[in-house]
Amino acid sequence: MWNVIGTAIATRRVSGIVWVLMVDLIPLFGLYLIAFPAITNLAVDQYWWWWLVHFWVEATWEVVIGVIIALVLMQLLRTSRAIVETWLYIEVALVLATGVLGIGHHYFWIGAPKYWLGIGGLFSALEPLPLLGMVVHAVYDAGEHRMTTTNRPAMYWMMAEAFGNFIGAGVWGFMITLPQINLYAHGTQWTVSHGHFSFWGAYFCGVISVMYLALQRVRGMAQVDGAAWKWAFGLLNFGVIGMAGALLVSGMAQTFTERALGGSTLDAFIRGLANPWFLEGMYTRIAFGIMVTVGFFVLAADLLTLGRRVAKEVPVLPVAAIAKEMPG
Amino acid sequence: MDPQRLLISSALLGTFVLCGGIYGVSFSFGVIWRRRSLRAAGYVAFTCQVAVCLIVLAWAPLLAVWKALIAVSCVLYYFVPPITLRYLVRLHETAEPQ
Repeated sequence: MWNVIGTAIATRRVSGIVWVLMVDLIPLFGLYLIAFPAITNLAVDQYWWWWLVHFWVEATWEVVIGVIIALVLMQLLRTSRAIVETWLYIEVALVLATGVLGIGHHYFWIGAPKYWLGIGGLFSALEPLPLLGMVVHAVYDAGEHRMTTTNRPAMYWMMAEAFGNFIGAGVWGFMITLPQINLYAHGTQWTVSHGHFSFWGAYFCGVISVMYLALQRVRGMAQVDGAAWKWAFGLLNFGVIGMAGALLVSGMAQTFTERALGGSTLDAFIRGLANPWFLEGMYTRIAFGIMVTVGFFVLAADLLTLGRRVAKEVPVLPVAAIAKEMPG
Repeated sequence: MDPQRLLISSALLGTFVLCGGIYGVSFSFGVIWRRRSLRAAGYVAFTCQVAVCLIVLAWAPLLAVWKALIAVSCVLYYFVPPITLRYLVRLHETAEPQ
């Protein structure tokens, strides 16, 4: 937070994007302070810990995504600031309008009043709509420029963010957000699958996009491209999709065996963990996890060496030699 | 709730949103690149979304209020891509008058 505010003070200029980011970072940081008091009651302590994380993911971090998409579109595609900022304000309004009360789907089973089932379910069901708007926005600006840019990795990671956010948070989230289904799926590997996918789509992809953007500036590169980022992009995205899919299978098996058939008893819990579908899902998850690890190292190597690799020299033939080789 | 119907209902809800996403992306690219085939693909995806919505309404063991919400959101999904695009085009024309 201080980094952003300090930069704004130092430059004596605050754009709309920076304003949104600063206003968003204040509650984001303020909520983090809840983690510091030494609360002796474990239930109260856990409640605030839990509330902090969920308010972050449903509201403040979604605003950060909007800011990242706006920043990247402006830097990469030269979309005018007026357009990006106007759209950002709309996105932020929609995200907060659905997200702040959409957090209610986390209140379902913690002893909060019953009306949260209705409020949480209603606003959670509306949450994918602004995410769809974000996707359309990214598609529009990228499509207008035919996906041409001087920094392809940043562009592709930004697109991955828009799609990953929609699929991970929107599609995976909507599968389990209505109270009647959430009652059975809550706290299983199904939730873990949703968490992995949405966190990846919403945050990691955006961070990687900004890293490429920053490195282009810092290392003074006119064009960012190559083979390594494509490998990292493929391995990481394919790996995360595989992990989310495997965890989904495990979670469905757990929901089915432990919750729906077994009635959430300890015996049913143990039977759920021994279910072959559950186990195979967890082993598959490890395989895709290894893929993600490999992708991470490729990404790290690319980021560390970007702009420092010596371009392979192409032998230049003298004009006379070329003329001699030409037919006729 | 019947365990099988629980899982299938959940998968239907995920498919419902996914179809909405495919509709939005195909429709947007179709309009931007003036490709009728992409726009048609978008409408096919939305038709699938309506079909999924109807299955949920008729078959899923959800309370009536949630079914009503899904029906209303299905209608909203139809309007999000064209309205968003129309606004974005107008925004670009206003901000970049050249």
